[in-house]
Amino acid sequence: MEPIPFLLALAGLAGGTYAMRLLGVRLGARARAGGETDQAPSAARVWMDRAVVVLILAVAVTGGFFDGQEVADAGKVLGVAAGMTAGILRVPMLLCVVLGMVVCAVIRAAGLGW
Amino acid sequence: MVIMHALRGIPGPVWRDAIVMNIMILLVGLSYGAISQAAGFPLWQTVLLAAVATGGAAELTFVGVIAAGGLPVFAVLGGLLVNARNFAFGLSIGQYAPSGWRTYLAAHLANDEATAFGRAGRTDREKWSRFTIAAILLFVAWVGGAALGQLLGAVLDAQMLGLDTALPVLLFCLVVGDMRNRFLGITAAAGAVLALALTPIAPLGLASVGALLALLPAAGVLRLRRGRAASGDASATAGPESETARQDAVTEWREPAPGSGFTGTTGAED
Repeated sequence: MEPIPFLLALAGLAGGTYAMRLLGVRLGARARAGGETDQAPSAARVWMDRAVVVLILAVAVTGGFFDGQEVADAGKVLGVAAGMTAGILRVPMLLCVVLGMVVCAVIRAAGLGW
Repeated sequence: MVIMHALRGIPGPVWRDAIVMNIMILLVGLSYGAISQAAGFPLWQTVLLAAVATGGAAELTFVGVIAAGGLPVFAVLGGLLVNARNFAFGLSIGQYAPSGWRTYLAAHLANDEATAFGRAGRTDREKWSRFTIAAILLFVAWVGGAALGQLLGAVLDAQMLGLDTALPVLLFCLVVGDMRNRFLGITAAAGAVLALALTPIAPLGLASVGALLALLPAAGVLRLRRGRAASGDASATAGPESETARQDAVTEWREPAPGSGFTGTTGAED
């Protein structure tokens, strides 16, 4: 991209992203019960923590099985499925990721598709 | 100095986990750099984008829209939509982040991986130090990976190497331990199905946020169950209503939590 339009777009993306993040952190800090550190967490904290798990899983499956709004190619879908299955079977994380990449690369190299 | 203080006394396995995780982030950064290079972005733009957006998918969306001939304003909106979920991660980090200037730094580094890594700690202190290591290493790995990917772009075929599978599998592994809690597992699975169903129709990045709707029926079920427990057990009704709700929520959550998070999936319990 041309430098000037790029910098303008960058400023928009960076500013907007940072504003959303900072708002989240600020609200989260406000929700923190006064003074408690290692005690049983408040209901609000428990629910926010659950929300993080739900959100991360959703990001993982939508990013893993879709490319944008289209279902991803066979290599990616099967590779991600293989890596996730390994994760369920308590295979160490690094191996899960490598397995996913290998399955995906093999399928793509073989030219298999939907 | 203050950051160094936060990092002192962190056990080896935590460091190891954080480093392993960020080696994979580096791989994802490589693929982003290669894609960005192929889309015609110069090195300084690839790196600057990675450093200021620090969102992973947001940069890929931005670069993808421009590469497809889209207007910059759509690239910005797409990136912002994809990054919107970081608001929820901010909420989580705000719970344990120290106040003051560190809040502002932490906000910039609020992202999927560091949030998931941080929340596996047991105490606020532990969560904060886990988040700090993960976030700092992630920033270095992501920006460094992007630069390396751009330079290697011509010789590296990220697509054929299957690098685009690394991030989803990594994120899945970060939360798979928590899914063993039946309540949370079912809720998250329902959310995932919802997000998949929404993806073809929802604007970019919003489908995953839609998964949070699964928390509403989940809360209803928990309330029902609590009602039933209260009517069966006289002592449970002794405390104030909100107190029992809290206890219920806590026991539901706590039972498999220690060690079952991130460290469990890497076999670091030993």
